[in-house]
Amino acid sequence: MASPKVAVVGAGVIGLSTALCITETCPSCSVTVLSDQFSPNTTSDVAAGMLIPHIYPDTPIHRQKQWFQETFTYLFAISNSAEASEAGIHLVSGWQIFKSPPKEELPFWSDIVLGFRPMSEAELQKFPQHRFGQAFTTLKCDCPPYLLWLEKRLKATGTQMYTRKVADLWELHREYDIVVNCTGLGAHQLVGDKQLFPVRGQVLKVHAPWVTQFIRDGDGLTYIYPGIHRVTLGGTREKGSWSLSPDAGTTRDIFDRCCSLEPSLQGAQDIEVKVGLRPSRQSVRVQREVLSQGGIKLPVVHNYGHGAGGFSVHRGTAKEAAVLVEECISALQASSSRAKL
Amino acid sequence: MRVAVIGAGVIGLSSALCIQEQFQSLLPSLQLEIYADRFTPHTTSDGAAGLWQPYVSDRGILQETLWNKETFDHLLGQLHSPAAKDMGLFLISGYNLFREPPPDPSWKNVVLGFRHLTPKELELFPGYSHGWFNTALMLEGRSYLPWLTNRLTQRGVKFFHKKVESFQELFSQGVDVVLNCSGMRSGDLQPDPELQPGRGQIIRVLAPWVKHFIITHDLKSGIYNSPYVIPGSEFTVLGGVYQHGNWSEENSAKDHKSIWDSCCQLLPALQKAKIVGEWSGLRPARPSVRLERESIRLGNRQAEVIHNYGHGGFGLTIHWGCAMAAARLFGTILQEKQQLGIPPGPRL
Repeated sequence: MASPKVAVVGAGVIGLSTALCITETCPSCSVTVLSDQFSPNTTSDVAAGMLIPHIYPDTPIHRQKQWFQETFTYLFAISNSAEASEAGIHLVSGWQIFKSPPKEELPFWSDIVLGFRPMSEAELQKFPQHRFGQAFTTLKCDCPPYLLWLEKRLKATGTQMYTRKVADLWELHREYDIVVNCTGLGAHQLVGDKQLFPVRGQVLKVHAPWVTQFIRDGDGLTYIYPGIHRVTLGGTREKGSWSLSPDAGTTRDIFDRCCSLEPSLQGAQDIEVKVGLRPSRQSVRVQREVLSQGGIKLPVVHNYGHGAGGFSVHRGTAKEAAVLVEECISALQASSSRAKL
Repeated sequence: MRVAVIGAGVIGLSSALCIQEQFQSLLPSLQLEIYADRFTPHTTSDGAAGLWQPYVSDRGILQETLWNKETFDHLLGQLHSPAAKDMGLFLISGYNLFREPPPDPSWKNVVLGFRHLTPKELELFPGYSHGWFNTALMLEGRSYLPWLTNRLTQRGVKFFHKKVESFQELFSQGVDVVLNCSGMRSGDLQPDPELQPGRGQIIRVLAPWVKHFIITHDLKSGIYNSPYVIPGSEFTVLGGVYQHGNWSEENSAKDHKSIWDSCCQLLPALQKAKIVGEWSGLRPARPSVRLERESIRLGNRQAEVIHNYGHGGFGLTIHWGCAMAAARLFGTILQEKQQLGIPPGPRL
């Protein structure tokens, strides 16, 4: 197969990074990105993009750790390069604080982030209602810059990108040899995955440039993540809610919760409210499949279901998906050789 | 009781505020006046980035170490107050980098979360083999000075835009106590060969992705003669010049290039940063801060001067401890005047 034609469906952080990995592992592939939404209208654009992993109950921990390590290493190199500002990648330090003792004293990722240690008594005085805390330095992927940078890298490899709503993967079988499904929550409809469910998150993006430290409550509900131009204040975790409309009462509640952790946020300006639906699943689906219909086969690689942890593991899962694409290509070449005999 | 403060930088304004807060209610006749030829945003304090950090090599002056700590603790206590944002006060973390192992600083237990850098962190800074990470405070002069000015004005302190030529000039007008907070130009009022300029130059850029301060040290070239990057609320300050004895307040193209090249080498992404300003200032350097009383005989009376100058590159860092000390000296003066039977009332 001279130039395998690969369609990547989805242009959030997963779709774009997977497409990029495919161009890296398979330079002879012709890659096309198809999506009904591009930045700044993807779920990824709503997220703060903090590299703090979310735990997937049904994915083995060592695999999650590898994904996180790959992602962290990749972004660490970018943050240290001249491209950092364009790519929207920067280091940020801060605290994760707990009202009651955390389930694990040392999360699996504590040796991957930088300088992880328990907070001192003096540091905890800033948070009178919290009794335990962890201090560390991690990375943040600001969107839209990071997605736009991925798009730019893709264009440089000759990858085409089209706005197109794919209602059925079979639409693509004539034009493409392999389809990569990075549709996030869209996979619920597109491939009928009932294990996938939305977890609604509302956030505020505010102007508060004096906030340089991140603060995350260990319960995962309240967080303050300083980005390049805006600080993301969150949030909510509403399982099963499909609503993309901002809720005014929720806005007030998020603001109050964040101000109680960081009082100076009272002076925040230009409050923008955004809603995203985390494409949640008990495990991330990174898997190969061959769809079959009326004698026609369509190799599909799935890479979706990253829930609250998309940014944290995106590069790791993208690389794994790219390996699966390679396997699809080998399988196609093997079967076309057999066909020739 | 007329008290004149010469100088409206961080030292002058904070000393005035301390005295006003502590003595106005005890001494209703207290009238504070501030004289300066430069006010915010044109003072040395306005040009400084505003990072709380004493010099890394201890000058061995315990008093200064204690004043630094007093200032940090005072500011930390203000952090959650509604005034913090107006004061230009916020937390910031960052890195101090060295090419050879340094002794831990005197302030390691004053700042929050002080620790040594891990090998992985040092990968960010090729060429540096050791370093520290800690969380400290920013106190931006461009916000803090107006905030102090507002507080002082509300409390009836008067401001005079005027270059004072001598202490006598004020005493002859009926001032009882002078606070000399004239920083670099104290030598104009009273010669002090120990006070020398430590010229600095900085470039202001827009680099909002930089969330940490990074201060490099070259123990051979001396403090601040090595690149540093300090992010603020409106722009990021690039610096790394300390020229002892250089009185020029003009920006030097040679220094600009040296700062730009060395900072971009430290943080390659800075190459894309937009330059929005440049500034040169004179750190009022002295082997130790001069914070003491001087009694001057003027005819048949004794005039009092409280000197509070010579804070080098750590004025914002040490200001509150010094202001409190200056207020204590003022208190001593008041006590003595009462003992001598001089009522602390208006001059007749």
